[in-house]
Amino acid sequence: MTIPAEKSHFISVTVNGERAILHVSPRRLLADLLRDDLGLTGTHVGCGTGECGSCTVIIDGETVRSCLTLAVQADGATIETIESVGSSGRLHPVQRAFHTHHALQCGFCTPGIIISAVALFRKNTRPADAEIAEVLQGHLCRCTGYRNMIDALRSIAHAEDR
Amino acid sequence: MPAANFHYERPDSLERAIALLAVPGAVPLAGGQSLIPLLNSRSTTPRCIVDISRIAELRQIEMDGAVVRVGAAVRLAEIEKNALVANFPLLAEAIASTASPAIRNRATLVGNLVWASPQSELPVAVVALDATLVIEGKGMPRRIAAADFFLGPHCPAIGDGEIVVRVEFPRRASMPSASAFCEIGPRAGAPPLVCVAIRLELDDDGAIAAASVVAGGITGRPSRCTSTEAALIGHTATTATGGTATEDLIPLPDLSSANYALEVLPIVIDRAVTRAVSALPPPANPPIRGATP
Amino acid sequence: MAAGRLVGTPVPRFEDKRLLLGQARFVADINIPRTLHMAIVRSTRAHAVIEGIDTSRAGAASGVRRVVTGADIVEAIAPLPSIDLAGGGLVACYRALAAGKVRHVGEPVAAVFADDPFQAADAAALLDVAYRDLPVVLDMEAAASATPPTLLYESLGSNVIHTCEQSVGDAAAAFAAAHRVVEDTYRIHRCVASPMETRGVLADPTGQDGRIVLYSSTQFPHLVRSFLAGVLGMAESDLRVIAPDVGGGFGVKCEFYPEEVLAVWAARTLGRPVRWIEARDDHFVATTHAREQVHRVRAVVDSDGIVTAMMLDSLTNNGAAAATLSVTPASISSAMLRGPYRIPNYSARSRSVVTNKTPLAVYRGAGHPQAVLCMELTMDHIARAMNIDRVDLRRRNMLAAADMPSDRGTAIVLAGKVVYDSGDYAGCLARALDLAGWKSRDERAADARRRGKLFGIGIACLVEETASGPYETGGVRVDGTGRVTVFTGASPHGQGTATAIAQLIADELEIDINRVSVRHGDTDVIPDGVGTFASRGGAIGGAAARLAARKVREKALVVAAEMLQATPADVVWAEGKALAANGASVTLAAIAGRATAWNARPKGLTSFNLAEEAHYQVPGMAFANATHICELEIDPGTGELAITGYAVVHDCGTVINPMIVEGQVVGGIAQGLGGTLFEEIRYDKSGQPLTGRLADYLLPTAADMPATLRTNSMVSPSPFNPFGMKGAGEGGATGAVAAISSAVADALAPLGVRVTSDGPFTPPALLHMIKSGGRTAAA
Repeated sequence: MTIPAEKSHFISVTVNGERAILHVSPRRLLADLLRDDLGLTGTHVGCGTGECGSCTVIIDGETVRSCLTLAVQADGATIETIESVGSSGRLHPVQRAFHTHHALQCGFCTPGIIISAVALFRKNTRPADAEIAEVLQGHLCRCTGYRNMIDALRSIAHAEDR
Repeated sequence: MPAANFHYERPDSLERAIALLAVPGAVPLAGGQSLIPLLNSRSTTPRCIVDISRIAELRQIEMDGAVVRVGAAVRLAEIEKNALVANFPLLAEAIASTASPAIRNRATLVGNLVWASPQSELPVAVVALDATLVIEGKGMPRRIAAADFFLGPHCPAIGDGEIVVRVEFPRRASMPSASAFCEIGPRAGAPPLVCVAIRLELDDDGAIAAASVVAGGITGRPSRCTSTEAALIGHTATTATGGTATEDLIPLPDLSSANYALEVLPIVIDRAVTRAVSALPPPANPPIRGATP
Repeated sequence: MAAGRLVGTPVPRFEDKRLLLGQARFVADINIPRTLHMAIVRSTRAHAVIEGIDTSRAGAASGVRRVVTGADIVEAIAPLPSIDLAGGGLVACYRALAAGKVRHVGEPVAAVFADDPFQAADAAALLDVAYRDLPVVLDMEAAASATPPTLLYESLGSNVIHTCEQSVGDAAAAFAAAHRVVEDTYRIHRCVASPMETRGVLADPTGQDGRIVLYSSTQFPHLVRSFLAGVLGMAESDLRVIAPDVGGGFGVKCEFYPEEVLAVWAARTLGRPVRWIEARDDHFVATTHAREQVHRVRAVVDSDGIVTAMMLDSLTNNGAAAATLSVTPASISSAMLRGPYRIPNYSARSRSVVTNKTPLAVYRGAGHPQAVLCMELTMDHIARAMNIDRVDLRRRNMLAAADMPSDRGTAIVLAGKVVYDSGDYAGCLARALDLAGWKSRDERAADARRRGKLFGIGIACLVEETASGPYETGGVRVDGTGRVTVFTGASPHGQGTATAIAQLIADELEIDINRVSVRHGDTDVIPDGVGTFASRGGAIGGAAARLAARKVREKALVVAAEMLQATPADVVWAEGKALAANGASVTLAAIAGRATAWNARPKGLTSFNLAEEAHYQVPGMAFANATHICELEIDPGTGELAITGYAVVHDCGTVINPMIVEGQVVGGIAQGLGGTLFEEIRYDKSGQPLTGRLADYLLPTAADMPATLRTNSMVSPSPFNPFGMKGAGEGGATGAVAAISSAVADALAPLGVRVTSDGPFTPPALLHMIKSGGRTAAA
């Protein structure tokens, strides 16, 4: 018995401030939509099971794994990806701190972690060590050993001026 | 890998959702944090996915008399932040121990319970809290105690076409209580090898009148530690200890860490009891010296 | 010559900005119109004959352009090479698609090419393969025995694909005259490198010059090009291989894989770009595994605790086929076993064995972490048995700095003779002990015991083979604006080598580092190169680049002399300018402008440019060294383990960028920690993998890193490198495996438990060891 072709759906999303209307198959992941349909390849897919954190984006103000979100579920949502964080001329404080503290090596896991950190600092400009630890929970990095990331985030939390 | 084909429906009403779920091959989707990994590896290939995450009546956390109700589409992060959960610190602790922030932003309590992982914290916590699950789909809604809902690993007492619509937690605000959640994991942030949820209720003299001690990771379902519960009755904050009673629990053969979990259970219970009672004030009317507790 | 201004300083990385802004281009980020998507159908059996493949349903599926099986390509595609293996074992080389037989779960059986990845996956699910199961062998000892349960390659007559031998002095005689022999069998479990970016390929035939361009997440694009040419019968000049941004490699991406071959073959055959991005669950079965070995170690010790001889008999579980680097783990572990210790007599037999698991190759340390574990646990065992202080025992046996260079009498396949170049091993040990607070350890131990915990402290002293040759290439070109472009055959994938090389060149030419850019990872950028693995990118790639820059400087002086109307002997280089005796100067930019073909050729020059190349041929490996000290506590009731302190002193010779070196050390320690505490690849009895996703294979997280991690460094320049540099990439992982295992051994020794493995030391495993006590001889 053949499975009938799935029905595609129109969805409306606002990504990094720009509205887009797309026609998507239900099995398309939000990660696919961002990367392939919108060309926002800064969000990376490391595992497809939500365990590595590389695909993390912000949906309606909260961090979410884009590999565990169907594109259709994002209908009507406001999404922020790494491409909306900082710019070539002016890095976001998290990006700057990662740079000065050598908190990245290959860069694959980096956007997901920066997104989680940005979400944290929006809610709390002076997070305690335990909250910084929570940001890194659920993010895997195979290159750095994490120590410099922790130092980078603490440097922002303890900065005099921002 | 890309998931296999499926139809996607997003009903506005519970009634419509139930009608869609009555068709064979239809499964509900709330948070998706357990389902979507299975789709992405093609471990499961449902015909139709019914997205219940926006059905208004399933999105409520509300207090109804002595009961706090948590709808099927309420996210773990929402529960954590909700003032009502202050009544159930045990639930908050178990949620905080589950997965990671981004997962908790989407995962739902009900979804986690229906997934019924043998190593998950939340089934253990809801059993310790004497929760009830309300299920709809076949005729009249039915209620089932959490203790009876978990039949085995990934085996909830729910049939085709049925859907858990909410979990209900009874409040016993009038009685002083203490609770704690303890676990031992293979690694930070990973599902635990063994976990224990304990809830104690005390009488006016500060003695333990009721004890709920539930363990996970041993039998494949949340297990009541009845010997420990019995042994705790009558003790006070100063005399209560855990881990002295032996529990008659059978480790699940297919769960490689189950024997370990059973072996260390007394220690984990002891840690949980210690932490639970540490928050209690000393008894107002201490027992008469020399009396047998 | 002016002293280095940037070499030795922690210059922040050029690589960072793009990566931080989400502007990286990993292979999955590259989009070419009309790309076909490849899905690989993989064996679901560990060992079976393929009786038939029915491709009819898959071929008829929507969007499918081609389906191929092993039979279809057996003429067109040769077996994939193994570059460190010779002899009969070559019959075990991998094929792009299985030919008649499958030998591990995950082996590629067929490939489907479709218009989009969903269609490709759907069609792959419609492919029917009929298997006839064969007996399965997973255990390397059973596989290597005289009567194995099955042979993977019948024509070989054995499952042993290679035997590597080392022989120094006369170990047999020493054993015959032995005062005391200490013996143990060490088991090292199977791990995977698991970089955060899985593999991926994109083969593009649509370029204007008719070549095929392969983008691959690889560590050695030049070698991939050579292999492709050989396997597909193509000319190298018809291929361009590009390593775009690569998200970690750790050794699993200096391997040549079926998907690279199939993508290029298909792109050529079908005339469209072909793309394949590896799913993480495929990665667990399709990308090479690591570490699994068993070592039987015997040591002869005299009455003063001097180890006079060692013998090693070891097996490496190579999985189902000979990978590109297949013999290397066996070779390195046998060549490096004695570490920093003299041990003048040594013999080793290391056999590489095939079994029905995923093929095994190299991973950060490549056989060396295992060797350090064996040596250091043996040392501790000797110390306990003879009641000699562990530190003292090591010092008595160590080579001294004055002994360098020291020909160890062993050799590593492809890399050559093991001759330690320089290093103060005892000094490094002393410094590490200091850093770790060794003298006050008893207080901390007593405190731990008061809290009911077991306390253990582990020491790992290692000498690390780095900077493997045979060579690397470098090119430097200066343009008319004075900007310098460096071309390197190194192919970094997170190591910051571009920044490090820029530092070297900026110092050599005494210019602002912001005028230097470094290009790599592309066979067009530099026509010849080797790649980044075996801790060679900075040391050798950097050396080649700096030698090229040196030649450029010399060339610049010749041109400048003419411009300044002076003799070359009277012109000096300083601060990016050529200076004449009379104070006149010309800038690098001006010199480059003069050296172009628009002008008459400057005297003394044969080429119309300010550019030079260098092939740096490595005279011998450089040997870094380190000491790791790990302190931990174990709860004897639950087996919970906490690392309470970690100290490491490392020496990689002349350091280019200490911040980068430190990053490599800490990252390596995290991998060693993961491997000893959480990570394990497991199979069931029928050869089905049990660890198929990150939920099963637990990688270390930030919360798992030691709360206190102290590092320090020493500098023993290598006489084998023109700039004294040694490699720094692998020592962290190599030392951590042994240091942590040694600490566990130390904690459990009072209970009569002898630790002879690298774990993983999970709570259940530790509790089992603790409860078994002295009743089990080994854990």
